[in-house]
Amino acid sequence: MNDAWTNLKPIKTSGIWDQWKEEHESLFRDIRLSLYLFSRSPLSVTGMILVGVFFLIALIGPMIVPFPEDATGAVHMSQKLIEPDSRFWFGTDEMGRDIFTRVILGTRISLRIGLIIVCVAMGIGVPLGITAGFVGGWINEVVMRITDIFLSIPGLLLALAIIGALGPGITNSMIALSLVWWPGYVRLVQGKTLSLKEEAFIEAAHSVGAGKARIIFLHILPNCTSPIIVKASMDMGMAILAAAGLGFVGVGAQPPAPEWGAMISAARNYLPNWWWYAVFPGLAIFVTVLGFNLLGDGLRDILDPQSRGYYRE
Amino acid sequence: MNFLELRGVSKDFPIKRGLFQRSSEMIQAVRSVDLDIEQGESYGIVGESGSGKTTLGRTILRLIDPTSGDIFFNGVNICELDRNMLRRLRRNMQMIFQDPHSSLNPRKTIVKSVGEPLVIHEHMRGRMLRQRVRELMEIVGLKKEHMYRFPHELSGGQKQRVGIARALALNPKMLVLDEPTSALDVSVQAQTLNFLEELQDKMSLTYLFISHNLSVIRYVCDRVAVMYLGRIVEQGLVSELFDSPVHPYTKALLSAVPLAQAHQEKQAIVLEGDIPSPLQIPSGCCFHTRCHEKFGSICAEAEPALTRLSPTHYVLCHRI
Amino acid sequence: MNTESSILTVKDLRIHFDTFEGRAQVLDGCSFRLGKGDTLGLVGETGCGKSITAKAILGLLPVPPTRIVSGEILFHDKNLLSLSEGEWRRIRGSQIAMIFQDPMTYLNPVFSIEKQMVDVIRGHARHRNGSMSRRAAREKAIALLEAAHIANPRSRIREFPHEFSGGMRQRVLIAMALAGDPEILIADEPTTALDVTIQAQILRLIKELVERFHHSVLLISHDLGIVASVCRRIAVMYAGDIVELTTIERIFQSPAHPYTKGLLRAIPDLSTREGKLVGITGSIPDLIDPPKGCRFHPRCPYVMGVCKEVKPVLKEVAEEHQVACFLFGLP
Repeated sequence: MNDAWTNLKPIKTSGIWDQWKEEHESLFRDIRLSLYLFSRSPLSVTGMILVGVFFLIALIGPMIVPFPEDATGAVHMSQKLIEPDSRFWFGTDEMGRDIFTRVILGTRISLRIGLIIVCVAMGIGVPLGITAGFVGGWINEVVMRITDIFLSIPGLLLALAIIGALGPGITNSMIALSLVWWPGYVRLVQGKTLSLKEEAFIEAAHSVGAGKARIIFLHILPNCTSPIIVKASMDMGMAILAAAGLGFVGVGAQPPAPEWGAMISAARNYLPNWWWYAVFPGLAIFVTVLGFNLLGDGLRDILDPQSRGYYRE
Repeated sequence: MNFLELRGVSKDFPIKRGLFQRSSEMIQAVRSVDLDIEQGESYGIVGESGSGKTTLGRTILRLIDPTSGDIFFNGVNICELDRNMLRRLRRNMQMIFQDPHSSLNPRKTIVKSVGEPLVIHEHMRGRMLRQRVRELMEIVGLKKEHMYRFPHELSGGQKQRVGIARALALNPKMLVLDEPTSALDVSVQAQTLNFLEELQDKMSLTYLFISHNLSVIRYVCDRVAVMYLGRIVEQGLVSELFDSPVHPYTKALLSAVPLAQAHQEKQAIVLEGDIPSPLQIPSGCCFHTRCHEKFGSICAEAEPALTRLSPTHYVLCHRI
Repeated sequence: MNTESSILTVKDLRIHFDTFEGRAQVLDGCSFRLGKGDTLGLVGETGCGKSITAKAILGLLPVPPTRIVSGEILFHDKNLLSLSEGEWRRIRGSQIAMIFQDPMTYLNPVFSIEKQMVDVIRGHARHRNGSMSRRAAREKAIALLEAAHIANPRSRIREFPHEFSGGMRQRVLIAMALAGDPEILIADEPTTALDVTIQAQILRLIKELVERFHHSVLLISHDLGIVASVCRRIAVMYAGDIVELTTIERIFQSPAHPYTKGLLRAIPDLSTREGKLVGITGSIPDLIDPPKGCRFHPRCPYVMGVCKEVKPVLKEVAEEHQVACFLFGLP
């Protein structure tokens, strides 16, 4: 009687949680490896910190600024052009508005612009690129030639031309810059798709009966994400810079919105005596773009399979 | 009725050039191949680059469509199948790929890769899927822990077994093995070949074994065909071909294999010149440019006819 | 093999490689000698360290993450591991030359063969504190291509790598390797990327060059047959050690080390189907945490207690036959 019971092995009821953990164990290991590699590069970590601060400020900015009304049209002529001091950390502009407040609130504007541009560009470019690369033939030719045409026109010039047709404003400058940015993604993704198409595992998927849709979404797309992520992170910085450029020229955000480029444009007239007006928004742009560039570089280094040290003889 | 029959199968690849993708040149990868494979046998295809052996394997599986000719599988002409029938065909014939490192999607865990055919054809999911994958892994000798790993965490031999597990998922009747052990270490190759042999017995499989490694072919196969520039130049029983080769190319191929023994043959046949490109196949007998036993001017002018040396041994040569 | 005639001596070479998971002990005390006109083959499977050894001899290992922990590589009594980069450049290519595996990636696709060869030849001449005119270098290049059996070298020299077939490119690489009149030729899997009949041509070429110019050759391959067709001596490597070092004759007639025997049993025979291939149970050890004692002991059918504790070193068991195994004498 006892024997029968002792021979029974305890039934392992692996719950859903355990199952999930087991299934994703390798993924966790991969993520840990990525984090470790990333942390090895001080510049990459710096980039990540800068970007993190940027996002944080964009998120909580409106709650911490001392003079929120200065971004929405308040005017205090009595305070105009005061040097940075304990009250106004970045000084005030020609309408007496606190520059610190405006720079912080400008972060949100820049983040919105950058995100939307990159997302729209990806949304147009990635599907087009995969389709062109995968289907090939004349579709590929047509898509790539159109891409070539767009890429042959200097970006900012093209954006200005589009804004000229649409009219100034933040929304229109986002549309314009998205139209400038999407061809880059097409190129990237089409190239990657072309090389992936020749890989054995794609052929293997065919041989087990996978249809085109399955192959594109489950095989090709996941293998494209690495270069897309790297490009997107670097593009964020460049998109923000470009948007600031349009703002500088006057066709981006309209007053009184505290957009960094527009602020620098207004500050032109007050250099060099009232230097703080131009310097602080300029620094904000510089630090943000630098952060995204460093982050992008860092991501590219860790996503490169060589550097992941899959050690082989 | 034979298990698999090929009649006059040819495959050309047009090279598209120019703005409008006009084809100007043609790669004749496979040229009028006739083949019969019996159920349960291991049929070997040997050749070097440009021989067309890889293309032939893919054409049989209809991963590529032949330019002309017919392929009969259990009496059914598979060149005329529509898409649905083709999908059903896939269950019967599967392929094992050469490079274990690239035949698995690096972003998918093993269980997803092995289970894919089950998801596509039988719409399995959840616990049943995991159960079936676990069974397949056991058949190929892999442990449960490997199921949730990524390909890069496995060794070459293990990855090759995963490929085999995937191919077995739908209980195929035939496997086309394209250089399945070429990328593996010698000791791992031995294990894999023995395993493939056991598998064949256990699951009554028919093998089409493509390789450039003659020693492996000798070990695994019952019959073999030697291909050169898209044509089968000699075919027969393995013992016939290896012990008494007739075609000059077969002889040269056998003699070129560096043997793992102390005394190498001093009179090894070393062919001069390069293998011609499939873009410009020599006239007449395609091998005449490198042939060391040329018969005469006819070799450059006319293609040889198939000569039957025995019920199983055929050769394509003017000398006979 | 006496020390006087040995031009390359590798002594107790220990190399580690840093990875995310830890330090891989890639080479754990590798020792061998190469004499003038001697031909030695390094044979082993994945992870045995044969390629690393070759690269170490030429100083081609990137120093972090690779770490040369101890040992010496003596080339004519000069320790190569202590050389500066400048001194290395004088030796690399001109006194010790290397032929790599994949001829396509080792030739620059945008330069003609002539340009690449002339550059190399003149570079070597400069390192010998001389100089060579372009014309003289071109003539030498043509002579080398001829020695490598490339037809019409005078006209083909102006072509680009992609106009050559795989076998011809390997010949070009061999010609380039000979350009500096090296004493030692290291060939790392020179025929792996080539077809069987082309491989036969290249192996025959290497043999011919050795007979003609008396280079010393270090041939690295996973294929015992290839090594047997070119070399006189052979070193079998496993997981960072040389386990057996002897002549080709003896390795086939009387293989000593259990790994060697296992390897020979796993090689399919071209001449017969008789017999069964036997694999070696187990798998290649993790070099980050290798087995204690003899690295082969977990897979060895003759394992003894001492094998798990102490690491065997190469010991002479017969004329020109060294084995690292306790079956031939306890420590």
